[in-house]
Amino acid sequence: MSNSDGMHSPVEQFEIKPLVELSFGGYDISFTNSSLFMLLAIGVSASFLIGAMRRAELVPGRMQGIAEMMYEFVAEMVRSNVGSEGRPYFPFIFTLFVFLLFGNLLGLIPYSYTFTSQIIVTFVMAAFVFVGVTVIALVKHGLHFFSFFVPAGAPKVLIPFLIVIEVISYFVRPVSLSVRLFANMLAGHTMLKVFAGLAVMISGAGGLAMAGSLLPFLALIGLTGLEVLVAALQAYVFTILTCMYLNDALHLH
Amino acid sequence: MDNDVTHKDTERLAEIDRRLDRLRVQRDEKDRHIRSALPDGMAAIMGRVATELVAGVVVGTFIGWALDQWLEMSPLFLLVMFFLGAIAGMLNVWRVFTGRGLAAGYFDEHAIHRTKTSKGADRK
Repeated sequence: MSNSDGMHSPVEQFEIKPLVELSFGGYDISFTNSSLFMLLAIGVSASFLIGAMRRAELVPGRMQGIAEMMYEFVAEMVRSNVGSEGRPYFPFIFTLFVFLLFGNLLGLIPYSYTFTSQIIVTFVMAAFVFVGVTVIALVKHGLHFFSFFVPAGAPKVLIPFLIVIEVISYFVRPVSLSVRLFANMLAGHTMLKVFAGLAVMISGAGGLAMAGSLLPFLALIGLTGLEVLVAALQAYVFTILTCMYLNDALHLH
Repeated sequence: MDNDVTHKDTERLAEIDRRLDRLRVQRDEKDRHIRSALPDGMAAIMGRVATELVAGVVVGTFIGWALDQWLEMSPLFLLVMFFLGAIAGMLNVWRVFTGRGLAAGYFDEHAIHRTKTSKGADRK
C-alpha cells in the first residue's frame, strides 16, 4: 500500500503477515508477526522477572526493585479492589498485567508489531475474563447470582424491562473492556505513523522546507513519550477493570 | 514456674495475632469501595462515556439480531433491543458520573452512604 511518493500508509503497520504458513483442518493457523510478538512478550517478561529475582537480595538492586514494584503494585491493586478473597486470583491478574504491559511496550519499538491493536486479541482476553468471572460468581453464589440483575425497590411493572437492560449492561462489559484497550493502541500508533510520515514528506521537499519538518518531528518525540504512558496506563486499566468485575462476582450486592 | 510464664506468653501472642487478623480483614473490607482507582481525567472520562454509549447500542442490537435469527421475528427484536441497548449505555454513563463503579444490578444506597460517612470519619 504505497502511493506515488513511496509513502507508507499509516495503517500498514497493523497488517498481519504470516511468517510460517500452517493450516489445520482447513483453518489457517499460520505463525504470524502477531503470534511472534505475543511469544516475545511472554519470553521477555518471564526472563526479566526470573533474571531479576534469581539473585534476590535483602537490599534490592535496580532490576529486583522494578520486579518487586510491579509485584507490589498488582498485589495492592488486588487487595484494595477485591479484598482478601481475591488472593487465589492474584497469579492470573499479575500475569495478565505483565503480558499486556510488555506487549504494549514492545509494540513501541520501531519495526515491531503491537498485538494489542487487534480487536480480536483484546476481545478474546476480555471474553475469557468475562466468562471466568461469571463462572466464579455462579459457583460461589449459585442461582442467587441472578438477583444481580434485579434492581431493588423498582416498581413491579418495570422489572421485566429493567432486567433486560441490566443483562445488556452486563454483556457490554467484555465489549467496552476490549474496545478501550484496542482503540487506544490503534489510535496512538496511527497517530505516530501520521506524524512520522509528515516529517519525512516535508523534508522530502528539500531546501527551506527541511526546517519545517522539524515541527512534526518534535511533535513525534512528544507523542512517543505520551504513547509510553498510554501503554502502561491501558495495561493498568484493563487489569483494574478485571479486578472490579472479580469483586462484583465475589461480593454480590 | 518458668513454663507457666512462657505458656501464658504464647497464648497472649496468639490472641494478638487473632486480633490483628480480624482488624486486617475489617480494614480490607472498608477500603475496598473507597479506593476505586480508575483514571479520572477529562479525556479518560470522555473516552469511557463514548465507549459505554457505543458498546451499549452495539451489544443490544447484536442480541436483538441474534434473537431475530432464532425466533424468526425480524425485525421486532432488533428494533426493541436497539433502544434498550441505548438505554443500557446511558445507564452505564450515569454510573460513571455518579461514581457507582461498574457493577450491573442494583445498588444499596445505604451501603454507599455508609462508606461515605466512614470516609468522613477517617478524616477527623
